[in-house]
Amino acid sequence: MNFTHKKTMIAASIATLFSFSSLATEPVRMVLEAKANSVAEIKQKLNDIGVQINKELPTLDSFAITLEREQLADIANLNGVSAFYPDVPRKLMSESGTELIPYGLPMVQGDQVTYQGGKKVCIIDSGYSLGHPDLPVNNVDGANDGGAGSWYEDQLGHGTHVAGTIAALENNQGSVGVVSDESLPMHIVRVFNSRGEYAYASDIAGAIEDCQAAGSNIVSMSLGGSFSNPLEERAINQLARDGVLMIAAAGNAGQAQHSYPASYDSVVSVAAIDDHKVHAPFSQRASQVELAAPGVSVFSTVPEGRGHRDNPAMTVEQDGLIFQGFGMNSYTNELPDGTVSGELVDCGIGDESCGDVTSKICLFERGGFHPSEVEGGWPTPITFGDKINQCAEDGGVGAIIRNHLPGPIPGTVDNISIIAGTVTMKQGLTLLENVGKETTITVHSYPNHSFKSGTSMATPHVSAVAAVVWSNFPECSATGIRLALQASAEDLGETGYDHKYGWGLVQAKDAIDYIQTNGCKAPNGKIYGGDGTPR
Amino acid sequence: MKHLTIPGVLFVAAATALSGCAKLDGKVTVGGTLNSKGGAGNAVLTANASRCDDEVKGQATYKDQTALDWQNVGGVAFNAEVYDAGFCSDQPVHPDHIGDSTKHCRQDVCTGGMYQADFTYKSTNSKTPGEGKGFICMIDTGNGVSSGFGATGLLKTMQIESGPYQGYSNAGTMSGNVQISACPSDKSNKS
Repeated sequence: MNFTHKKTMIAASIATLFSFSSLATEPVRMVLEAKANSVAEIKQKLNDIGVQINKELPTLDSFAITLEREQLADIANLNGVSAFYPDVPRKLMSESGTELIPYGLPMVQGDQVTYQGGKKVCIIDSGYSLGHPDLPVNNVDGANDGGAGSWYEDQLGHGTHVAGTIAALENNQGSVGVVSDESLPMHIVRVFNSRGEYAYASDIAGAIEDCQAAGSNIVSMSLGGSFSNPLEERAINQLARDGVLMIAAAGNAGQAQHSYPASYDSVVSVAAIDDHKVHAPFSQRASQVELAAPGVSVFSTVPEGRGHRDNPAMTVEQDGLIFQGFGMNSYTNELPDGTVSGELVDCGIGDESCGDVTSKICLFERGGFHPSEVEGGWPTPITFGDKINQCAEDGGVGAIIRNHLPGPIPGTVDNISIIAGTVTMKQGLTLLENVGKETTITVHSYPNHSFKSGTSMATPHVSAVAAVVWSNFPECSATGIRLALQASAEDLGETGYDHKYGWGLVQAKDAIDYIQTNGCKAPNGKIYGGDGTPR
Repeated sequence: MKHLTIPGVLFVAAATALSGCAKLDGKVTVGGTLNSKGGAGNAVLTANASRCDDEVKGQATYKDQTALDWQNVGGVAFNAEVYDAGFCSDQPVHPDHIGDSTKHCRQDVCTGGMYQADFTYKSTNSKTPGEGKGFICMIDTGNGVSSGFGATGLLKTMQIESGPYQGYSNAGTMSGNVQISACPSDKSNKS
C-alpha cells in the first residue's frame, strides 16, 4: 500500500468510525491487518505505544485494538501495516434490550391496572402470528372456519398488530400490550385473507358465532363497511342478549358516516385520537360513536421481519409525555442507536452552530437552506445530516428533527455520530414548548414491530381495557361494563357526548374506580349506541 | 380498518376505466329508508327513474333530518327531477357514443349492475332554499324481487354536487323497496 492510499483509507476509516461511537472523546475500536512477516513486530509496537489489543487473529495476521483517536494516524503509519479500519459492531437480530412503551398504553391507563383473569377476548381479523417473540402462545386458540386461512398465520399483519395492542408481552423487547403477562385468554377468528380484501357480513356473523362457541366475553372487530346487513345484525343482537360485549372500529372514511358493525346499537363504536388526544382526521363521525382511543401511529407487533420498512423507531420521553416517531435510517451505514438523556435545546432551522450544547439534545425544524458559497449561485438545502452533525460538533448527544409539514417524515441520512430521529409537526411544536426540560430519546430497530394508524388500532385499546375492567368485577354484565366505560371516559372535544369522540377517551383505572364507587347496575333490555338515545 | 371490498367490483372498475361503462335502458323504483349521514335518525328516499329508448324521466324525494353537519339547519330535504338515468353495464360504451356523456355511467362510483340517476333538485327546507344537482347509484339486492322486509337494496352513493346541499353524501342499506327492471318490451325491444 502506498502512502497516499493509506492516508485516504485512514480518512475514510475515521469518517466511518463516527458511526459507532457517540462521543468524540471515546476510544475507538479498530482492526489492524499486518503484513505476514511483520506480525510480531507490529504487536510489539502496539504494546510499546500502550494500545489495547482486544483480540489476536493469527491465521489472518490481524489484531483488534482499542486506541485513542489521536493515535489513529500514528498506528496507521507503522511499518508493516497492510490495512487499518474500524471494527464494526454486530448484534443478534432480535429486539432484546429495548422495549418501547406505546403511547397508547399509559393514555388509556393500561399501565395502572391488572387483569384478574376469567375473561376472554375474541379477535376477528386477518389472523395471528403464533410464535411471534412478543406475543403470547399460551392461552391463545382459534378457529379455522373463518374461511380465510389458518388462524395462527397472518400474512397481512393487521390482526397481529391488533393483538399486540391487547396482549404484547412485557419481555424487554418490542412493545407492551394492555395485558402483558400472557394471562389473557384470546380466541382468533380469521376472516381476512392475505390481501385483506375478502370478508363479507356473513363471514362476520359466522365469526361471531365462533367467538361465542369458544367462550369469549368480548369480541374485538377492527373492521367495517358502509352497509348494514340483517344477518350480521341478528347475530350481533343475539350475542349481546347472551352477555357478550362487542367493540368495533368507527371507520376511516374521515367524514360523517355510519360504519357497520360499529353502528349497530349492540356494538361499542370506537373513534381514533392521536398522541395529543385530538380526533384523527380519518376517524368517522357518527351518532353511534361511543368511545375514543389511540389510533394514530400506534406501535405494535407485526409478523416477524415485516417491520423493517418503518424502522428504526424513536421514542421521545419527557415528564409525563411519550411521543413515538421515526429513528434516522441509512442505506449505506449502520447508524448509532440506544438511549440518551439531556436538556432539550432549540436549535432552530440548523443553519448555524447551536452554541455549546454539550450533553444536550438538539431540536431542529426540518427544512432551510445554506446560502450559496459563490455569488449568484443556488442555495443548498440543509439536510437532516447537516443538522445532526452540527449538533454533534456542538457537543450534543442526540437530535430531534420536527417536521414543518403535517404528518410523520421518515428521515434518511448517510452517516451520523449521535442518535437522532424525526417527529411530526404537532409533536415538534409541543416539544418546542418544552425546551429546557430533561428529555430522553431512544432509537432502536424493531424488525417485528411497526406503526399503524386507523380506528382499527383504536378498537383493541378499548377491547383490552374492557377485559381488564370486567375481570376486576366479574359479577357485572356486559352492559354494566359498557356503561361504566362510558361514564368514566375522559371527556374530549365538546363538553359531554359528541360525534367525534363519543363519551371520550377510554380510561381503565377510572372505570375500575367508577364501579367501585357506583357499582355496575344496568338495564336488562336493549340499550342504544352512541349517546344512548333511541334512533 | 379493513373495509369490505368485493373483488369483482374492483375488477370491473379497473376494466371500465379504460373504455367507459355503458348506460343502458332500464327502470328503477325506490321507496324506503336508510341510515342518516352519520346521524341518529333515518333518511327517507322515494324515487322512480327510467331510460327506455333513450327517453329519460323520473322524480325523487329525499329527506335526512338528522344528517351530521346539517342538523343545525333542520337537515337535508328536497324534491328532484331526473334528467339522466340508466342501468350501468359491464360493457364499454359503443365507439359511436364515446363523446356522449349521457351514455356513460360515472365509472368511479357507479359500476356494472348498478342503476344511476342524475337529477336536479329543489330544497324543500325553508332554512336552506335553492336548487342544485346531484346523482345516486342504486343496487337492487333482490334482483328485481321485493321481499317486503329487510335489506332490499343498497344506496351505493348519493352525492350532491351543487346548490344548498353541495357536499352532502350518503350511503347505506335500504329497508323498503328497491327494484331495477327492464323497460317494457314494446319500448326497449323496438328496432
